[in-house]
Amino acid sequence: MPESDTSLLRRLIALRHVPAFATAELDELATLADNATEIELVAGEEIVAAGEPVPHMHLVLAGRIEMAGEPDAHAWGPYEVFGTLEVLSGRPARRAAVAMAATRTLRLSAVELADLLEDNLGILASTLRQLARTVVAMPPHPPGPPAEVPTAPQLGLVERLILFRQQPLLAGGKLQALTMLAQVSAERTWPAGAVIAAAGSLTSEALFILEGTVKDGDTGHAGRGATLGLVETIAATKHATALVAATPVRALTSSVDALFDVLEDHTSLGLTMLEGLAKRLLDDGARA
Amino acid sequence: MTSARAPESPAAPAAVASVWRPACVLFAMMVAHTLLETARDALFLVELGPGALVWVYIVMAATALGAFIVLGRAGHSFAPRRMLLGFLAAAAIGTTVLAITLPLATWVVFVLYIWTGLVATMIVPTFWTLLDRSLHTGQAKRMLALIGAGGVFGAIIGAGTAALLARALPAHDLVTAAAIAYALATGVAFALAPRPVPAVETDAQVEKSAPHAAAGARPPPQSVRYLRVLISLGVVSTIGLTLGDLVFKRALAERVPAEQLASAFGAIYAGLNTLGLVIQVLVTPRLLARWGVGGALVVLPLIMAASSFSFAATGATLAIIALKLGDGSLRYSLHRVGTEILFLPVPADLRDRSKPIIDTLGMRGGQALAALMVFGLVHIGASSRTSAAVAAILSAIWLVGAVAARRAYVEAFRGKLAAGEIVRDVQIRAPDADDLALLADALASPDEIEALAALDVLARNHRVPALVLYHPSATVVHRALALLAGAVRPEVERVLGHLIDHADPEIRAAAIAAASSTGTHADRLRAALTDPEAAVRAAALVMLPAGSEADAGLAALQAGTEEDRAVLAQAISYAPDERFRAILADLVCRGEPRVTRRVLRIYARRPGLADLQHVLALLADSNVRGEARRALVQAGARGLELAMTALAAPETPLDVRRQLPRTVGYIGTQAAATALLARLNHEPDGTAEFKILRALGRLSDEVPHLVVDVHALRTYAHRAVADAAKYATYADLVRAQPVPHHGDLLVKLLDEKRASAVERAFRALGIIDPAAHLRAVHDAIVSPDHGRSSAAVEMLDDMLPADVRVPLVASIRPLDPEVRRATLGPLAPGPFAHGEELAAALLADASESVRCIVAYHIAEHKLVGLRADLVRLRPEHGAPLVAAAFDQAIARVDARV
Repeated sequence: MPESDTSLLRRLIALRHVPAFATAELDELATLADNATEIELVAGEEIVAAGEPVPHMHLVLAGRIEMAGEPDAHAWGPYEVFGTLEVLSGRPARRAAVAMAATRTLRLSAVELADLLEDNLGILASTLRQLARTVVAMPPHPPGPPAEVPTAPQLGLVERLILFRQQPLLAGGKLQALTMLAQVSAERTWPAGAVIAAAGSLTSEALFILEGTVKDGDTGHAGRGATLGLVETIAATKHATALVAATPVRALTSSVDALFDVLEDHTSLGLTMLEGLAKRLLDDGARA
Repeated sequence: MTSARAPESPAAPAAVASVWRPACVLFAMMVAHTLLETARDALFLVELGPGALVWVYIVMAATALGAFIVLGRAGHSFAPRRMLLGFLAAAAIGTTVLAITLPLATWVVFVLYIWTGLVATMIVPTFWTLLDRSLHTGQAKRMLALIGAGGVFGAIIGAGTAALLARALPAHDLVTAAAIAYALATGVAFALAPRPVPAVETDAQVEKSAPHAAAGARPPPQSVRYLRVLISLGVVSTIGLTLGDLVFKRALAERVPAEQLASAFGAIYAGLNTLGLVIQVLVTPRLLARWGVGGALVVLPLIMAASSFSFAATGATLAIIALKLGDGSLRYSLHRVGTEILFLPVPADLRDRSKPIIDTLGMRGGQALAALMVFGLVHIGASSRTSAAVAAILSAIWLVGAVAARRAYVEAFRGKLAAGEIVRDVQIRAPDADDLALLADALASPDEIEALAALDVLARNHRVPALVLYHPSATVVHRALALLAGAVRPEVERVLGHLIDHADPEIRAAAIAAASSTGTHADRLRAALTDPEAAVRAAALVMLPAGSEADAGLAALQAGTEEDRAVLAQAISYAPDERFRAILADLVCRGEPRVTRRVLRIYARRPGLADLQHVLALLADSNVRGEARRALVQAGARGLELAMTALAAPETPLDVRRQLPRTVGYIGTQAAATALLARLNHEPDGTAEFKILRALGRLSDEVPHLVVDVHALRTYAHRAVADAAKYATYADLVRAQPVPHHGDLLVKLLDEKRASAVERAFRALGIIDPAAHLRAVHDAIVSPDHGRSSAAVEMLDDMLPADVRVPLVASIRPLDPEVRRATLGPLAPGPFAHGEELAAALLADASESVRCIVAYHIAEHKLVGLRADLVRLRPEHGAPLVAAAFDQAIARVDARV
């Protein structure tokens, strides 16, 4: 518990510096602040050992945290957060993290963070969006294997569930959440040559291609079983290139509004997606 | 779903072994102990008489004091298993020595009595400590009763053997038999006593990694207080039992010839122990499940108080028999198990150190005090009836102590639970002088984020300072203007007036509006009509008096681009007025999120300007939902009535309906809560129903002294528990079926349905009693942390009535399917003769998603026999995907016929 409300306000103001919390509701941020603990680390103190689970994330208030052996590539200064990706993904630390000077941090445990994200949709949504934007900003990820598309001429609820459960970002989600997403998703078709999304337009829906091929820019092609724009939809970024139907295309589409509507009722799906994004960023070598 | 294979619980063999092995050890120990105890009682009453019992108890207490010091030290040095083996071996050797020396002198009988007590003091607590190290709280509660039954059975066999032997042999030969029995018990313990299992974390092991378990750390004060309660209870209960025992023995010695005492004791103990076994096996587990540890603890003192009082009042032999029946049948069954369970909330390290001491202090200290009391009673020439009266008073005190111990037990678990709890829904209080100083510093900071955060906090309390409008950051000034949102105080107007030439058009526009509203700078208002920025022109038009010039300009903006309409809405927000009603109504209908949001913000400030019916429809649009919700909330009673009417109307679109509970919840009044609660048991849509519950939870947190319809909430909770029981049973049954392709879908969904029904039950019950913090109990009970989960289950004993608690816990805990079915009783659906019957039942379930998945499985497995059910149960209304799932399944079944 905080020692006074002044210290709560101080923590709240510090948390506002975290991009993911920039637009969070004040009460949500206050709840986060109240559950965070201010700690002081002496120079050289190890925060987590290599290969060990990362039980807390730390918002650095003063001082500096570094990954042992990687002083240039991995360092966290004031208002930067150490351990977010590991905490969200549940993965261990790749290297030991050490306070390089007398350092003050706001510490929040992984368990508390999960509980708070589940309870505070605003923070969950903004964290999700922030992480998705980081993924989009990374060099393109090689596409995974295509999903096995059910053969039904029109996908029913169960076929949609089967399709969603093959998506790395959605696979761990509760079926009740995926059922809701399935219900608010729509099957659409485009004739060959139709522009599915113009370059520069906002990515407003994810496409799960059921039939046909979509041309993505000049060189990219996505066929049956591929997914386009799921992360970009969450990130609310614009299409870098146009999406054009190279052949007649049938796809299941889920809009960003539908996705966030589902998250409002099933925040656990948001946690699953955060975990997926965090794992992807760690795999791609993003800094934690 | 083609067969009904008998389900197997993978954990069952291990669970069975963890019961029968320690039960066998306890059995062997109790055979030996009862043999020795029978011989001791007979020899003592014959050789020394009941009058010497007083001295025995005093000496025994002193001996025990030395023993528990040894035991306390040994507890740190040796594992309990090794200690148990050592004590048993020592018991065998020591008893052998006594058997040899008994014929030599009468005083050896005195030593025998002390020895018997000493052996029990050393062995019994060590056995229970060993057991404690291998069980979780939840396991302990289920298994202790069964393990204890082994002990009671051992006592029966021991007493029966003693009775038989006593017919043929002199009493001192029973001591030799006891020595042999202890030797055998040592062998049994060596083979079967539980060993540490590193792979499984017991509560004790989990707790040992906790910070308070560090070597030398002071125990938590609440644990120390709790231990004091346990010591007091132990002492009082022992005094009551000992006095009762003395009264019984005096009465027996008066009525039975000396040469028949050994066989009489053997027969009586055998009878009592048989009754004890029946109680242990049949009554204790049910009583613990039904009434919890509190119920288990009050039964014996109640019987003791009643029977002692009866004997004191009447002197009837029947009363003293009832006293011994209660003592003999319950002391080592129900009472022992209840007492052991009381130790479970104590941190493991502290428990290991303190339990032997408490056991010894309670038992031997209590006996010594009882002996002193008897000494006093004898000294004043009190009769056995007077002694019984004293025993009755002490039993009544014990009864009160048991009730207090139950409360302390729940509080101890509550403390254990609170350790992992997060603080939810924190509210920022109104800033005091220190807070304001901090916020003023932050507001003056060149760090824009810091200034914005401070501004948000100040705005929450309507304290946006006018001088912030001079902040060098345009972003900060914009935010300040947005937060002021028309609520422009005189000092703000004065400052705004000075910003009329500001470079930023939005600030300029706000300044024009502010200056106009105070009637100053009229010339600048007219000049603003030609400003290059639309935002400034719009503000000027809005501030002009109604007339053709203003109307034409406003109409042009209204008919212009989206940007024009956005600045128009912003301008109207500076001075919302009835004359703009039509313009606002037009702007809000255009489907332009930015414009709509601005209009809705105006409606939130002036709900009288809004067509609330249209605002309500906008709840479906996630782009403007937050603003639409605020506008409805600010409309107060009118918004509440509209929202509740829409919630009750079946034609209200689902995407609007599902937003209504939260909206009503934000209204935050008693009326809102009453309206939502009235709807709770009638809402057909599961998601909307859950949202009603969530909104009610929020209201119960935020509205002081909220009055709720407890009956409606209990009805709902019972329904949720019934759902949880149903889905838990269905999941068990489906799990037992052969796994089809994607077959885990159904099991997973049923598990989720069970979990969400459990959550609903907890939420409803939590609204009835907000102080119980049932939300935290729910989080703990479903957490993977065994310690917290077990603690939460224990707390439920105190919080919920058995008709809710028993099926709720049975739906949550991992149980063998047959055990679950038996516990749930009529709440468990089925049984079903075969898989198709189960599928037919699931196809008729209330959950659309369950029905869709089952229809899919029916098609996949070509269950032609269920085609008629598919046709009959195909929904005519509701989500199109559900009807489509049935249609597809029928088509697939038909294609395979």
